[in-house]
Amino acid sequence: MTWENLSEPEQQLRQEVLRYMGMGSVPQAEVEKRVCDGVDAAVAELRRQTRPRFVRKIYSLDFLNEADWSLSFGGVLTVRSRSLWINLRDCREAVFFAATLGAEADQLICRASRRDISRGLIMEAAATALLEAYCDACQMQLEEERNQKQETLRPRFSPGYGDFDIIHQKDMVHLLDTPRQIGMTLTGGGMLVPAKSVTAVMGIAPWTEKKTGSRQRCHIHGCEACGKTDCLYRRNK
Amino acid sequence: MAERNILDALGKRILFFDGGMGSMLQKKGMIPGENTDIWNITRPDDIQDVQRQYVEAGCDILLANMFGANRLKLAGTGYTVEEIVLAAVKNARKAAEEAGNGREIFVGADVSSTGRLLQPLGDLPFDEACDIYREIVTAAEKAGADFIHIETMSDTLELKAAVLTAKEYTNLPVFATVTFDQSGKMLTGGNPEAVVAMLEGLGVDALGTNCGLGPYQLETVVKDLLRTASVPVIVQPNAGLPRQENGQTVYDVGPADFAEKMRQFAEEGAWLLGGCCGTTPEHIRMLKEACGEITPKPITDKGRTVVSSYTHAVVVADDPIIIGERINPTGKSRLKQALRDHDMDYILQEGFSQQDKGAHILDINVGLPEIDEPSMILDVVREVQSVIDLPLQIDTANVKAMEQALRYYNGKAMINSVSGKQESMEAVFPLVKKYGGVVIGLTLDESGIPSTAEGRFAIAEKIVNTAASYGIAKKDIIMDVLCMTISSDPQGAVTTLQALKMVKEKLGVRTSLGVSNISFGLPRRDIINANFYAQALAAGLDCAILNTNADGMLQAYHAYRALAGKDENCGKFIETYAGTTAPTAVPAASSAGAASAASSAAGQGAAAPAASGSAGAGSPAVSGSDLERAIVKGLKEQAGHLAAELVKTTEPLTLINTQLVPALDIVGKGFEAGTVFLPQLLMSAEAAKAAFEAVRSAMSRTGDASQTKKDKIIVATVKGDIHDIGKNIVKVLLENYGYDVIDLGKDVAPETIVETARSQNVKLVGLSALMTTTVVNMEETIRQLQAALPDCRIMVGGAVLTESYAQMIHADRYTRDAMASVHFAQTVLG
Repeated sequence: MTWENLSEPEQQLRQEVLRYMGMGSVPQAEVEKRVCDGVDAAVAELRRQTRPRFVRKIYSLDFLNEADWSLSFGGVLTVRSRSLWINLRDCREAVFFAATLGAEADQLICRASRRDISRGLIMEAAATALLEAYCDACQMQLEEERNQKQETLRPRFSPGYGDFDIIHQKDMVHLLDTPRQIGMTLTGGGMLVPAKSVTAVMGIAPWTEKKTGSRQRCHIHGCEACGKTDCLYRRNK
Repeated sequence: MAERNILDALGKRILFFDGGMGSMLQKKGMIPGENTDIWNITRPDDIQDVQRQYVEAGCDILLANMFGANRLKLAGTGYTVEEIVLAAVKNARKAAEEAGNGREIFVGADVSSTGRLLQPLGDLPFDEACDIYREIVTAAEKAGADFIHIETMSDTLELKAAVLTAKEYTNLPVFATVTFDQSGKMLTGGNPEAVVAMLEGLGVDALGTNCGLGPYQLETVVKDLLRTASVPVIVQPNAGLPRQENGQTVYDVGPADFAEKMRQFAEEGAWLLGGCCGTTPEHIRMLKEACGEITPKPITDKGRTVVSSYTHAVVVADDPIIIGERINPTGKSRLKQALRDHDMDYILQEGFSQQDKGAHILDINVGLPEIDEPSMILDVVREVQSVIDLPLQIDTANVKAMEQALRYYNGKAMINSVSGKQESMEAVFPLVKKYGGVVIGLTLDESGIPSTAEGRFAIAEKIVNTAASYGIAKKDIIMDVLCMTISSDPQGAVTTLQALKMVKEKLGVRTSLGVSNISFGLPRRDIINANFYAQALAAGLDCAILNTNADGMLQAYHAYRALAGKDENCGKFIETYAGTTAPTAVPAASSAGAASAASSAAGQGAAAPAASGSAGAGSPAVSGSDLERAIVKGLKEQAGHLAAELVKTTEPLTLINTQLVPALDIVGKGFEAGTVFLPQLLMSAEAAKAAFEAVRSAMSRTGDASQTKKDKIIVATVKGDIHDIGKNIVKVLLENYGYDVIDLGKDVAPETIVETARSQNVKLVGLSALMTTTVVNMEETIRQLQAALPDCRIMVGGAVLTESYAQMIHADRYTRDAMASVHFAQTVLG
C-alpha cells in the first residue's frame, strides 16, 4: 500500500488539513490562497518524501467475561474494555493493525517547524490528515478481503479511545513486531515514534442480515461519522 | 582445534550463514510475541536442534540465538543479558560441535536493535544505547563468540552506537548488516552508499544487508553495496516477501529459487551468504550447493573519498563540492552573538539557506574564546543534524571538541583539520581512525607555511605517510595547500595552484581550499575570489569552503561545471540562471529583492513574490504602516527588509514598540475574535520575527543586542512527551512580544527545568504535554518547581489539558492557546 493507492480527493484532503488547523468552519473558497498553497505544498512534499507502511495480524477473539468486559485475543492478550467489547460484539476474529508515515514525516515536520513555525503547523496537520487517509485506504483494502469471505470489518478502534487503555499500544507494538516490520517503536514513556503512527483493532464479523437489516458497511471514518446512531456496535456509547 | 579466526577464512571460500530462527521455533510451539531468547536456558534442546539442522545443511556460521537479548527486552523475564548471551553462545557451540563433523564452524554473537529509536527521532540517548550494547558485547566475548554480528539495523545512529561499542569493548571482529525496504532505504532514510561510508569509517570487517526483502527485491541494494564497499559483503535476504495465510506468516521464495538468485550475488562479489526470515535449513542446503564451489571474487579498494549523513553520501570525485562556510563565527558578529546566546534558530537558518543555495557539505565551527567548545559543537551538530540531511565538516582546533562531535555525528564526517605538525597528527589521526572521517590536511608544520609549491608538497607527503602508519588510507585525506593573500604575496595564487596540481597528480589525493583567503586586504574581494575559484577549479580543485551567499562564487561554480562538461545539457546552469539578468552594476537594493524572490521560489511559500518588488530596500518613503501591513499580512521577507531599512533611522526600541508590537496586537486580537486563524497568526509571527531579526542584526553590529529582550521565560515539553509543535508555537509568539525564551526542548526532566529556572532566575515557566500519560510528569514538574521556587509562575497547555485539569495539578494558569500564554506572560512579567 503506497500513496498511489490513496484515492481520497485532494479537496477532501485539504479540507481535513484545514480542519486540523482549526479552520474547518471556513468555506474553502474563503481560505486565503497562501494558506491553501501551503497546505497543497505540504501534502505534496509528504507524498514525495514519506514511505507509509502498515502491518496487520489476525487474532481469534474470545469474549471472556461480561462482568469485567474482558476479551482475549488469540490467547496471547487480554483486554478489559467496555467500549471495545461493544464494538467487537458478534466478531469472531480481530485484526491488529499498525501504520506509520515513517521517520521522514517526523523529520519533515521538525524541519518545517524550525524554518517557519507556520509551515511546521501546516506540515503537522497535513501529516495527520495523510496518515488518516492512509489508514482508511488500508482499512478499505482489508474490508475488501473480508467481504470475499462474507465478512465485514468494524471501524478501527485505537488504544486510548473510550476505556480501551492506551497501555495496550505497547502490546500491539510487541505482537505486531512493529519496530522490525515497519519501524514503529515506543518511547520509554509509551509514546509511538515516529509520531505519525497509529495502532488499532478492527473486528471481523460475519455478514448478519438479521441484525442490521441489510448488509451495511461500517463508516470508514468510524462510528462518530456514521449516521446510524442506533447501531448495536457503536463505540463509546 | 587451532584458534578459530573468521577473518582468516574470509575470501578463501564463500562462507554460509544459517537461516531463519523464528519460523523454525514457531514449529516448536513458539507463541506469537514470545521471547525465545530465554529458550536458551529454558529449552536449550529446541534451540540446539534448529541449529544442528543448519549445521547439517552445511552452514559455516551459526548466529547465537540472542537477537533480542538486551536489557530493555529482557526486562521482566528474570534473566540477565549475560546469562542469556552465555547460554546462547554455548548452545550454538554445542550444536556446531555435535553436527559439524569436525568442520570449522564459527559462532557469531547476534546483536540487533534495542527496539527503541535514538534521539532526536526517538527518546533513547546515544550513550544509553552504547551502554546497552556494552552489556551484550562484553558478555559475548566472555562467552567465547568468534565475532560480533550486528544485524537487522534500521537506523544509522543506532548502528553506529552498536559498532562503536563492539570495537571499544571487545577485540572481536565486527560484522554489520542493515535492513532496506523496497525504496532501497533504511527505515530512517539511509541508502546503501551512506551505510557503507559510515561502516567502513568505523572499521567493520564485513558489511551487508539482511531481512526486509527477498533476494529478488534486494538486487539493486546488493549492487550498490558491491559497487561501493571495499570490505567483504554479506547478503542474508528473507525467503521473499511475507504474506498472511490462515493467520500464519508465509514467504514466497522456495529453496531452489532462493539459491539461484543468491548465486548471482556470489558471482558478483558477495563473500558471505545466508538467509533471514522464512528461510529454512533446506534453503541453506541448496544455497551451499549452488554457491559452494564459487571462488570469492577478489575485493578491490574502491578508492572512494566519501563522507555521509544519515541519508546519503557525498563522494568527492570529479564533480566539485561546495562546503558552506556560514556556520563559522570568524568575522561574523551576528553568529558570534547567536553562539553566545545559544540561539540555535539563527544557526539553523544559516544551515537552511546554505542548503537552498546548493552547498553539499556544511562546515561547523563554533570556536569562540568565551564558549565551552566541546559542549557547544555537540549541541550544534545535533541540532543541525535533526533538521538538515547534509554531511557536516567538523571544523575545530580543539581536540576534545572534535572527538565529541565525531562520536555523536550520525554518519561519516569531514574533519577540518590536521596539519603537518607532529602534535596535530598525533591528536587527530587516532580520532579519524576510530570514528571514521575524511580529514583535511593543511600543508603547514612547525616551520610554518612553506613559500614554495615543493615545500607544501613535502608536507602533504608527510601527512599522507603518517596517516598510513595509523591505518588511514589516502582516500580519507583531502589536502588543503592553503591560500596566502596576494595582497602580501604577489605569487600567493600561483604557488597555491602549483601546489594543488602537484599534490593531486603526484600524491593522488583530493584537494580543498578556503578560497576567499586569497583576497585579504583588497577592495572588491568578491571579484578576486570568484576568479581565483574559477582558476582553482580548472586546476583540479575538488572541494571549496565558500560563502554560498556570494553570487560570484556560485556563478564560477556553475559556469565551470557547464564548461567542463560536468553539467549535462547545461541543465543545472540553465535551471539556476535562466531568466536572471547580468549581475554587473546592479544596485544593492535590487539584489536584495532578487534574493528575496529566489528564496520564495525555493519554497518559502509564505511570502508572496509579488510583494518583494515593493519591498526593495531602495524603495522611497518606507513608512511605518508598510511594516505593520507586512506583518499583518505575514510577508516575511518584506517585513525583514523594511525593518532593516527603518532601523537605520529609528531607535530599535521605538521601532519595536510603535510598529512591531501594534501590528502583532492587530493579528492577535483577530485571532482571539476568530477572524484570523492559527496559520495566519503564525505567518504574521514569522514576519515579525524577521523584522526583529533585522533589528537585532543591526544592533549586534553596533553593540548590545540584548537590550531588545525582556524577561526570561522557560518553555519545555515535559518528560516522556516528545510532541513539541504546540510548545514551539508558544515560543515564537512569546519571542514576538520580546521575551527571552529559553527553549529546553522536549522530553525534559523536572530537575532540568527547576535547575534552569533557578540558575537563570526565571519567573515564568510554560509546560506542554500532549498525552494523558505524561501529565503526571507535568504535575511532578510543577510540584518540584513550586517547592524549589515559590515565586516562579507556571502556565500549562497541550491537547489533553483543560482548565480543571490544570487546577488539579496546581498550575498557575491554563493557557488554551499561544495568545493566552502571551497574555499571561504580560500579566506576570509586564
